[in-house]
Amino acid sequence: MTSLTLSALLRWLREMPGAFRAQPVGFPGGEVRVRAVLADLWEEVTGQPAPPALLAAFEAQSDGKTERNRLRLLLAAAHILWHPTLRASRPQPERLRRFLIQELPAMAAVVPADSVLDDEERGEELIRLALRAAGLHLEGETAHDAEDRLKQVDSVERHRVLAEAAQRERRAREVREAMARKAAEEAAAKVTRE
Amino acid sequence: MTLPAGVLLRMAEHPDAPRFNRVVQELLGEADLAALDRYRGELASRRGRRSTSPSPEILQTVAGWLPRVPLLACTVPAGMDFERGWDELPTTTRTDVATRVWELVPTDVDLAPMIVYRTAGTTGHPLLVPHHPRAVASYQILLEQALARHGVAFAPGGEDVACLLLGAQASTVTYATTLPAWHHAGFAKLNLRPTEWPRPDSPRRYLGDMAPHLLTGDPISFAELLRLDVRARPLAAVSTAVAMSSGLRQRLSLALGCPVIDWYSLTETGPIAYLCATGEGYHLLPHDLHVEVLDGPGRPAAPGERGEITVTGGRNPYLPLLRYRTGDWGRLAFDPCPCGDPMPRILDLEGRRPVLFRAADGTLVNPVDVSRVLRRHPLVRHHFAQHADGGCELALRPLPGTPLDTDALVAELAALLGAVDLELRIDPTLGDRDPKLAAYASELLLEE
Repeated sequence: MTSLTLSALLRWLREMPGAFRAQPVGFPGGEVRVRAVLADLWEEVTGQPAPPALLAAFEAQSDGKTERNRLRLLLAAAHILWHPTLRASRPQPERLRRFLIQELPAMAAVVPADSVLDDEERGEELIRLALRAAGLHLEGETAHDAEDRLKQVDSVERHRVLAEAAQRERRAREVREAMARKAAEEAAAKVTRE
Repeated sequence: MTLPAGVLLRMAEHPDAPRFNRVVQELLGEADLAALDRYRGELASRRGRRSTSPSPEILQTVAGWLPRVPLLACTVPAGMDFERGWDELPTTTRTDVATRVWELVPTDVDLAPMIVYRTAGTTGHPLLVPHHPRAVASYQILLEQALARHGVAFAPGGEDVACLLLGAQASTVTYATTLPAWHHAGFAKLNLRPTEWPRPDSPRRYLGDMAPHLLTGDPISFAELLRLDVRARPLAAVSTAVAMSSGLRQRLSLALGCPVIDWYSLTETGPIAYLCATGEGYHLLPHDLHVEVLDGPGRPAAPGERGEITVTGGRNPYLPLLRYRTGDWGRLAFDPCPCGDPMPRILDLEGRRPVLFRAADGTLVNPVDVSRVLRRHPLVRHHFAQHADGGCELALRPLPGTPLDTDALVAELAALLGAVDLELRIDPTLGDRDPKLAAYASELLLEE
């Protein structure tokens, strides 16, 4: 069994075969059927065929860029889960399902699929999500260390925090502007001074 | 909706009517009036004995604020048990309102109905306070309660002038309008300064003919009313803004033939308390405001000890105040009061000491007028004091990086005060050593 170090898994990811890098069927130049790849993977790692309802989630739901990005990220995730150690871990179906149909789409909404190959931190993020789904962690790390590090590289969380900060700043500006405008208007009658 | 042309016309077109300088819009709808009726019922039924702990309703209100109020989301630890940890909750200060009031406005409130008041600035630099017309109208319901506690049967009809709010300032907003929550009875905000009226004796005739059920004002405007020898016979007079001395209260009560009720209210908090009919302390007024007293570091003052009056709750949807430190001091008494009002009293209320200035020609000058001059200039803080001989000193802490035109400022003050001696001092650290330094001080007495 291969040792589970971050550098080894990043190398595994960088050496992803061409079939996993191809465009998904349903998009221009599409060659690979993501549903079929995930069906094989699911059966291999859980020992059971994937339910049809789950497999439907691995088909293109639209021809938009975001959807293509989600399917491409699914392929990269499938490649990581094909790693011998992860494949042999027999992950719990529920954890795997959560990874594939909740966590990955959220990541795909804020991270381009190519960046998991080009940007080491994004690669690490995908690897750590896959490890958590498989119930594993890197050599020398405790489960707590692994969770802690995942928080540090979590794009979805970072995006949420940034979006919240932007929303908060927008609202603050809106309130400031409204107050400046209304301070110049007539206020309502007030029967006492204060 | 009835158009109350009669009383408005009477107020605006009286031969001695002042020159009103504003028109105030009607901002209350039917839903607001229904809510005010409900509030009247709640106030009547839910005022009662209190303890030092916040009521379940207050705890529930605070819990509802946390996810919606940006400042509280940052300062209140997540998952905190408010009931057990109330004393550990952070306090809110005047500085929070002055520097980041937008972080107190909940994220989900509609800004369209918002109105904005500017505080008078008599106890510090003026603040901009967001408010809601319905919350402002609730003051009337609270006034009804205080009047009832003083034995005043107050029930103005649509043709009556319900209330006149008196000012005595160099300049202020004045208007006549009607009050939907009081059956569209008349209301006017007046300035008693002679320049506002057609003839010198116009205030006397106008106030006499309007026969207001209620007069409201501050000690300075009531002192001016006495000087003008106005023969109004209201059911009550309500004095606000700063504390009224018992001497002035007695004189005013005698002159008007009615109770004079001192009223404790801040723009940020709304009405807090009214002077007990026995004259001993101020009874807390709204049932939906939790009042506590804190020591300097912000811990609850020991029972019966003085501390800073701190409030939570209220009705202003744009300013959810969690443990707001008012800057005023007093102590809370929970023992039964002979007047029969079950709500606790604030005793030894301090911080609203009236400040009075006089121009070189002896004319009364309201600190609000000085504040109006100072706020046009880029200042962080100021301290304006007048000595018994009429001489004035002004210490200024300018806003860093913004030029301060002291010549213009001095000229504007001279236009207000005349040829008084003025000693100007620039102090970039003003207030650092003494954070509670008063914005205004005077050695002159109102009874003079």
